Amino acid sequence: MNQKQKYFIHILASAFITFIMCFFMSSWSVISGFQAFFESGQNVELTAFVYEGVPEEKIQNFINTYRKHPEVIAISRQTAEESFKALKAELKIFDFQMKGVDMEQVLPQIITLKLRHLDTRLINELKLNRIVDELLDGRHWLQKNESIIQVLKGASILMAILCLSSLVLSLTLLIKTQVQIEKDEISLRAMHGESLWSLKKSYVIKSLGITLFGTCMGIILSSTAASILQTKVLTQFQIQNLAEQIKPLGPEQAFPFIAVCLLVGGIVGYMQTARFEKDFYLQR
Amino acid sequence: MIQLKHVYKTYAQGTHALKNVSFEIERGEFIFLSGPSGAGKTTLFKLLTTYDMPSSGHINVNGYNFSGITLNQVAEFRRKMGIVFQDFKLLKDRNLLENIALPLRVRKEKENYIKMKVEEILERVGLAGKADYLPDMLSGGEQQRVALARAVINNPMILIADEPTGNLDTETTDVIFDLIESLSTKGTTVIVATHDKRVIAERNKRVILLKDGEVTA
Repeated sequence: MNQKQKYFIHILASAFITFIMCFFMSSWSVISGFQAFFESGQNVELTAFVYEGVPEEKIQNFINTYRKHPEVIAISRQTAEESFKALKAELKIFDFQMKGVDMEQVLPQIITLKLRHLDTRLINELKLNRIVDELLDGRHWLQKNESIIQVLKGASILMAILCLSSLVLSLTLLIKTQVQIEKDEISLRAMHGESLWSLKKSYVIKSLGITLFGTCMGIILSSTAASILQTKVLTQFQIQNLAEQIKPLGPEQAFPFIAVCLLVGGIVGYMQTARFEKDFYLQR
Repeated sequence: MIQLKHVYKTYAQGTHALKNVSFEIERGEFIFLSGPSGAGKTTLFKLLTTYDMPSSGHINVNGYNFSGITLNQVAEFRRKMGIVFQDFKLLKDRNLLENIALPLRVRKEKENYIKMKVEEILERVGLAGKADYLPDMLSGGEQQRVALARAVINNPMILIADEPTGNLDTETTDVIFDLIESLSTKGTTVIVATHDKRVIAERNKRVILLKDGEVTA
């Protein structure tokens, strides 16, 4: 293998590692964005049912109190008649009165509170408020969001595992192939007295160099991808809340990530030279 | 210089490659190691070049006791040794300069010194002006001269040659042996494995004869 072919393999390996790093880290950014989006709870809506018999004054009081609450973005009110119409349209039920019951009189008014965060204290407070007879939907949304957050947390961890596994796999293949190709040269160097560590060092440095290049390029490209997604795509489709949460990796995430990748790269490089002692030095 | 005392080498399968081998070689001596295939010549070379360790017995080369040798000592010892193989073991994608310079690069010599030494040694082996050639552009005899140049460029204390002329014609064989012999006169201890009876007879050197892993003469 001549020098040109060696350089070509190194460039190819660096590009490949850059690609997988970029791919996984972009996915990571997006997943983290979704996670933050759901954690921020901006789409959490609590639906309170107010049944017949509650005085109008109390309902207005309730609305006025929580409208000023810092966690509440908006409050909307749907009368029994409106909720009946909505239900009728949604469920296509036309025979509410067929059994002799006036369903419109039975159905409650609906007060919908849009919350900024998943604030359990506020939810408990709402539950304790006597005007709100039920808060079923709120509980439902809370649980749903928590499940989504758990899934996204799992996905983030999975992405990190996949990212590092791909790094390990591609570096292992590269160094293994290179050692195999350069076996004759390694053997000659060992035969002429090159020290074991000196032989190993060149592969460890190679492994670290490729890891550093691939990881840094991956971070730069994934940050660019996240930035484009944030500014162009999501904003264009007016998904502002989500766009605000999808942030490119910052130094506080990038540096530990590079450090972990370098550690992994160094270990992989060293592991691939583990047989050097037996193959080229002493068969004790 | 080289001292072997009751050396045994037994492989895992129970094969006894060497049995009670003992001999001494003085500094600057030229030795032929001869014997039929499977006699134990390659095993003995592996032991002398620290690629393998004896199952029992002692090997001492120039003050290096192989029984307790460390990896650093192995590297240090090998820097004082030159090896020539039957199949030359040249790097096909490197020119002669790169091939011959390898031991000097291992010793991290300066580039100017390397170039000067390579040109000098190429002239000694009759390949002056061919530093840029690739090994495949040379004949078998020339390739073996390159291998020899690489082995002696750092003035080794010991030169070990394993069937260096096994694949060469009579005329080229004589050229190679003349070169090897000229080196031994400068204080290098030379051990050459060969079963070429003509060469052994013509050169009139000490012969260590191996048969079934034992020294017979």
